[in-house]
Amino acid sequence: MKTKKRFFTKMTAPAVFGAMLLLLTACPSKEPVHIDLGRIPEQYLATVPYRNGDVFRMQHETSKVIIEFEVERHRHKTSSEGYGTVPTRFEPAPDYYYEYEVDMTTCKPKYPVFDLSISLSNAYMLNEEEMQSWYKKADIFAVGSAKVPFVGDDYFDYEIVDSLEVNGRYYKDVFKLKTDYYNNDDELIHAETILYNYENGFVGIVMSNGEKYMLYEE
Amino acid sequence: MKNKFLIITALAFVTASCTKPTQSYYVQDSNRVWFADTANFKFTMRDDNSVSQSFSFADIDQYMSEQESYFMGIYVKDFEFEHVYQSGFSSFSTLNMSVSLTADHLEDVPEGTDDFRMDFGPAHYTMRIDGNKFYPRYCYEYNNDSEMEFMAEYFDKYNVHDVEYQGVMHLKLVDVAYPWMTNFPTEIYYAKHYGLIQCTLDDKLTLYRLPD
Repeated sequence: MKTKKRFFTKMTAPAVFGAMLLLLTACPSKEPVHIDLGRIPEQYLATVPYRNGDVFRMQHETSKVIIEFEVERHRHKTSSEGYGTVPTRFEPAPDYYYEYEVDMTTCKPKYPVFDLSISLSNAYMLNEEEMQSWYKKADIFAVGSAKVPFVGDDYFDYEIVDSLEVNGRYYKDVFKLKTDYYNNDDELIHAETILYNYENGFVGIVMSNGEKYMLYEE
Repeated sequence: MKNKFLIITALAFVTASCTKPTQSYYVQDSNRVWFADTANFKFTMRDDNSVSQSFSFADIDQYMSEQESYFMGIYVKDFEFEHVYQSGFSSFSTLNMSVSLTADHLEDVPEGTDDFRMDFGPAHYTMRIDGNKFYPRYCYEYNNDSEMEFMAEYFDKYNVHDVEYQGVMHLKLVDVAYPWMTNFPTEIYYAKHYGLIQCTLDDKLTLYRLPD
C-alpha cells in the first residue's frame, strides 16, 4: 500500500507538468491584426460647420434671452478591439485592433442650459458593407440628454425643409430631426426636435415642453 | 518554541478582538428628512427669464464604510459607519445635484452631528448637521481648491410660487465675487422631503420650483 502511494506521488508531478506544457504549447496565441481605418473623409467633416473657438448665439423664443455658446472642436485617434466570429478559446485575445478617428464638437453655453455636441467617427468603416451603412447613418448628435441620428440618406426617417425663416433670416436645407431621448422619460424636459443644416449647424432646438431656442444672427 | 509563538499570536488576536469591538454608527433619523420623498423625485424649475428645466432624483441609497486598523500585524475592524445619499440630475446636466449624509464617527466635531454634503452643479457645500441645526464648514468649486465661507440657516416655512414648504435649509455664500464662477449656485433653498425649491446663481439668475 505504501509503495503504491509513493508510485502515484512520483507520477503525479511529471504528469501535471506535462499536461500544463501541452496546454500552453497546443494553443498558440494569435497575434491580433492592426487595422488603421485612416482619417474621417473631409466631406463628412464639412457637415459640421463649427471651428474650435467659434461663438454662436441662440435665442429663447418666449423670453428673448440670448444665449452664447462657445465651441470646442478636437479630433483625435483612438483604437478598439475587435473579435472574429465566435470566440472559442477560454480567454480569447482580440483578433484585431482597429484605429480610427473621432471628431468631437462641444458647444458650451454661458447660461445654465444644455450643452450641444456632435460626434463624428470612422469607427464603422471596417468593411465595405459596414462602411456604406456608416455613410448612410453617419453619426449622432447629442443635445443635453437627447440623441439624434445625423442623417443624409434614407437610413433614418427624417424631414428636410428647403427654406426656413428664423429670426428674420432664411436657412436652406434644414433637417428636422426627431430625438431619441435616452432616459425614455417624457416627464423630463428634453430636446424633441433639432433643426440642423450643414452650412450653419444648429438652427433651432424645440423642447418637449414647447420652449424653443432658435439661432440668432445679427 | 514554535507552539509558544502560535499561542502568543492567538492570544494577541483574541485580546485585540476583545479590546476593540466592532461598533456601528448610523445616520440620525432626524437628518434623513432632508432627502426627497419618492413623490417628489421629479419637478421643474423655471428661472427669471422663463427658461425651464427638469430635475429628477433617484432612490435613497446607503452603504457602510469600515474603519480598519492593525494590531500586532493582525487585521482588526475598529468600527463601521453609514453613508446615505441621493443623486439627482437636471435634464440639462449643468446643475446636477446629489446630497449625502455620513454618520458621526469622529471625535473633533460637534457631538451628535452627521456630515452633510451637497454637490450642486460646480458647487460643493459641506457642513455638520443635527436636524435643524447647521454647522457650516466650507464650500468649494469642483476645479478650484479655494475654500469659500458660507452661512446656513433654518426656516420653519418658506414660500415659492405660492407653495408653502415646511422646514427649509438656506445656504448662502458670504462672498460671491469670484471671477472663475460660471453658473455657480451661490444661494440655495432646500426643503425637507422635497429637495431643491429655489436657487440663485452667481450672475443673480434665480430658479424657482414650479408647483406639481
